[in-house]
Amino acid sequence: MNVGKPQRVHRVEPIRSPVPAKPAPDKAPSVPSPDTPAKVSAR
Amino acid sequence: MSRSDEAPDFAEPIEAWRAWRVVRRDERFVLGSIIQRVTWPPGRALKATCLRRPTLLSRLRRKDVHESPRESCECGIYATSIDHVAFYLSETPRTSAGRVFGLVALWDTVVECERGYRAAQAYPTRIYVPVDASHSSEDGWEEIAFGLQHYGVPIEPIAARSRDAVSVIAEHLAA
Repeated sequence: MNVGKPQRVHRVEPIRSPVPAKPAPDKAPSVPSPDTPAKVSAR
Repeated sequence: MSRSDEAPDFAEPIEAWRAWRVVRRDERFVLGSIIQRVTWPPGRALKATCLRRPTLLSRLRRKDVHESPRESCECGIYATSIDHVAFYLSETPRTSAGRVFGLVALWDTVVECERGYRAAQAYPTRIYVPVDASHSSEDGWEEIAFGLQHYGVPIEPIAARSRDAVSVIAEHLAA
């Protein structure tokens, strides 16, 4: 990439980081407890 | 007084445009520089290092490796105006998985040049994916767009081919 000759030098100190916070990991699928009684459909 | 002791010129990052090649790495896609063999790490800033090979003369003079970007060198992370990014998008090597373009935040030491910038640190802030972003017959632009989501920034598909996509965005921004 050719951006040409330097014109000036800036010192840039962002107040907030430009890097986004890591997205929360996907919520793990809930696993039913072995104590949970299985649903019984009414007949 | 060194520049690092001085008050900053800006408290917000400078935003500019650049094109990336898309590289498949460990079953996912990452952004890569077009000229250098450098990939942009998702979730953390890319930090510039001078990649210029030392000449025999500089080695004899024991010239130290300098911080990047240095005004008198050509090093740094490059970005340019939207008027110039289309050319670099078309220059993306076909050996890569694909090509995209977008906005990038630049901060720390930033050398402003005639047609763009060279920065010490950078991170993409918005990625545009043209319909012909993929160079592979296996993947479409959808896979490229989805595969770049781990950068945590907005990813926008563009209903235009690469040669027109930049002007579509430029016209949209000017409207």
